[in-house]
Amino acid sequence: MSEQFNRRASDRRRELIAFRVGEQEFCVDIMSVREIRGWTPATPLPHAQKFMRGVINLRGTVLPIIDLSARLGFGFTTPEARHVIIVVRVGEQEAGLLVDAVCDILGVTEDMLQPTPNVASETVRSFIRGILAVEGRMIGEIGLERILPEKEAEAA
Amino acid sequence: MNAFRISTRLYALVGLTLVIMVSAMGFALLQEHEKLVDERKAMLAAMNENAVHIFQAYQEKEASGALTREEAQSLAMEAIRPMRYQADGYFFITDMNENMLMHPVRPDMDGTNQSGMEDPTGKRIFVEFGNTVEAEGKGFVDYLWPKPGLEEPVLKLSHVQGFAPWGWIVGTGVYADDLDAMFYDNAMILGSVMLIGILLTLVAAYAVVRSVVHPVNALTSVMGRLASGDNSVEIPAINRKDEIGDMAKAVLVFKEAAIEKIRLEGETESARGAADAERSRNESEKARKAEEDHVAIGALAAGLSALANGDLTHRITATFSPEAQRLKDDFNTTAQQLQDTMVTITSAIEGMRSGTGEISQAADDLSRRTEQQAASLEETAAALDEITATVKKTAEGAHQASQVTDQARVGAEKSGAVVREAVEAMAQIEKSSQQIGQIIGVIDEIAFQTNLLALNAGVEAARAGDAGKGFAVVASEVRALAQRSAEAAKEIKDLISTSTQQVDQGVDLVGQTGSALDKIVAQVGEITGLVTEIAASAREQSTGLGEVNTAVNQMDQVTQQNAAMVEQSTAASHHLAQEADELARLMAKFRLGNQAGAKAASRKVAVAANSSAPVAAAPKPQAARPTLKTVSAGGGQAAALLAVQPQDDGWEEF
Repeated sequence: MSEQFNRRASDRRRELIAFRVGEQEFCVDIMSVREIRGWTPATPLPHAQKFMRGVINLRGTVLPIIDLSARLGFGFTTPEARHVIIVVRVGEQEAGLLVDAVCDILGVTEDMLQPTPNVASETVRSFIRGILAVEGRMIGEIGLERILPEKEAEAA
Repeated sequence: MNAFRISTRLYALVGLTLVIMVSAMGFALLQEHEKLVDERKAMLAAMNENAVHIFQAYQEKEASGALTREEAQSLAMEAIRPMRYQADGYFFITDMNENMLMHPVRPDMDGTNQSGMEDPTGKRIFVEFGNTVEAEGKGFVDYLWPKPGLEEPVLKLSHVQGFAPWGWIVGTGVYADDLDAMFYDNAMILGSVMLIGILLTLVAAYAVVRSVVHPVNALTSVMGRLASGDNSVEIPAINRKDEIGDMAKAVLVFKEAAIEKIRLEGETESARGAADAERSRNESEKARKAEEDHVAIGALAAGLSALANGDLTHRITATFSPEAQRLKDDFNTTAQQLQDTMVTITSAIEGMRSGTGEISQAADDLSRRTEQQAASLEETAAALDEITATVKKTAEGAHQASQVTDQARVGAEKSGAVVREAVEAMAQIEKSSQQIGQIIGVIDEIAFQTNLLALNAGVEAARAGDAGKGFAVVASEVRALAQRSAEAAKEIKDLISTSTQQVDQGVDLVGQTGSALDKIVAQVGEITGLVTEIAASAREQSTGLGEVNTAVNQMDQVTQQNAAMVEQSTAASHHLAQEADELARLMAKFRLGNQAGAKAASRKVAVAANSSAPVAAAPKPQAARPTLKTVSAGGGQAAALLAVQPQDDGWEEF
């Protein structure tokens, strides 16, 4: 049974987009990514939360941009031309994550993804679903549900 | 002149005066006549001039066409025909072929050829007219022609003038017989006045000559009698106030002198008798005195003979007559004083000899020092030559240094230009680098965008599931390429920034080089200035050395002259010493009494010792000769001339 489970787990291949925020690497499931694009200056929204950089016009759609570094509690990013916006879709919601750079596309199996340590608080767990340790790198998988403001509001 | 008597000379004077007066009168008379003739001729010329003016007036009318030639000519003839002047002056007209055209007094001659007409002397009058006019246009012709109403021809002055347009000759004339008559009248009056004057003059001359000659003859005969001893004659003309009177007074003085002389001769005869008696008395007195004198003379002769032999101790002891006593005393005093003087002279000579010895010594020392001086001067001249050569080298070195610094300056200036070009080149490199940087930026951007595109492709491929797998591989390859090009771009960027930095450094270094070169140029300028000053200083030194050289040459010359003079003075001093010895030897011949003789003997020894010194000193100057001759080139020749001259015959000379 456990072997079967393992087999099943190992069979289930996933592809992740790995990116860099500050000095750390994170990743999201490739299936939740809609598009990757360069930084475009965002229009700030009044009274928005600090990590909200504002909104941009993405082919006619209004796309909110989240400073991922700020959202994860690492401090604000000063965006430049080489910064990247990863457009993700969570449920019916689309949002752009501002990251420093996209590293690569990783092909992983489910068993390679280790659960977030128990010592971490519930909040941390909600932000980081699991941690991928490959080639000496530590890559945290972002829980996109928590990242988006609406979800936070719902959770709250 | 003196061969003639006074009366003859006076008459000649009067005669000469009269001849000159008569000649002057005659000459004045002839001049007067000549002047009258000239006046008359001038009047004739003026008259003819009038006639010609009339011809001209008619000729002008003809020329203007108012008249034909014949009318004009006949009108002119008619105008001339009645013209008269003075008593019988008229005009006649002929042509050049001696045809008479108009004659107012002899109309029968009109239209006839007069070439055959001759005056009584055979002169062909009209031919002569033609010749004169042909030759000179106008002129005078004199000939003989009878007066109107008379047959005898008289002299006539005439003037002819040609009138060329018509070939006419107009003539007029006046008779000159009245002038001759006037001349003869004047001559007669003057002749008679002068005859009377000559007679009066001759009478006056006779009176004057007589008044002079007669008293002179009387005085001559009186003087002849005085000369023959007749003192009783009476002197004539003694009261006259003229020269004759002076002469008579002089003759009177002669006469009185002759009378006085006869009186003095008588007195002389009586005085001669008294003189003879006095003479016989004197002769006996003389004989006595001669005896006394004989004794005195003998004693004096003996004394003088002793003096002549150098014996100054001799004294006269014989008894002399009272008159000669003084002579004896004087001789003795003289001998005594002579003896004293000689003793003094002997001691003075002794002093002189020691003095001349010292002078000789000093002259030898001086000669030696002069030689040393000459040698020092020679060394100085040699040293000066070396210094001059060194200064010349310095000047040449300075010149070369100046040229080299000039070249260095030019090089530095060229280098400055090169540095500026280098700076420009660097700037261009920088610019190119910037452009490259921009291009790299573009490449980098493209790589970035390509990367994003590849990621998106990867995302799409993943969505497509198994169908997108191949596409995913391509996307990842594209990503890898994009990343590589991004890395390459980054490397190039680094390289470019490095090279830009290096270019900056290069620019900085080149700038420093430029400023260093500027400093070098400035310093080279300073060096050039310093070198120029060195060259100028070297030139001044050279000039100064030239002056020093001249001075040294002059010193050399002077030293040579000094050397010559020192030699002369050395020789002179030796000669002086010798002379002093000779003098002492001569003085020893005198006998000067006992104490004097002893002194002289002791001195003689000293003299002999001293006299050897000059002989020993003599060769020294000869040894010095070569060193004196070799001193520097400029003064050397003069020195040699000075030096050669005195040596060989010098000793005898002094």
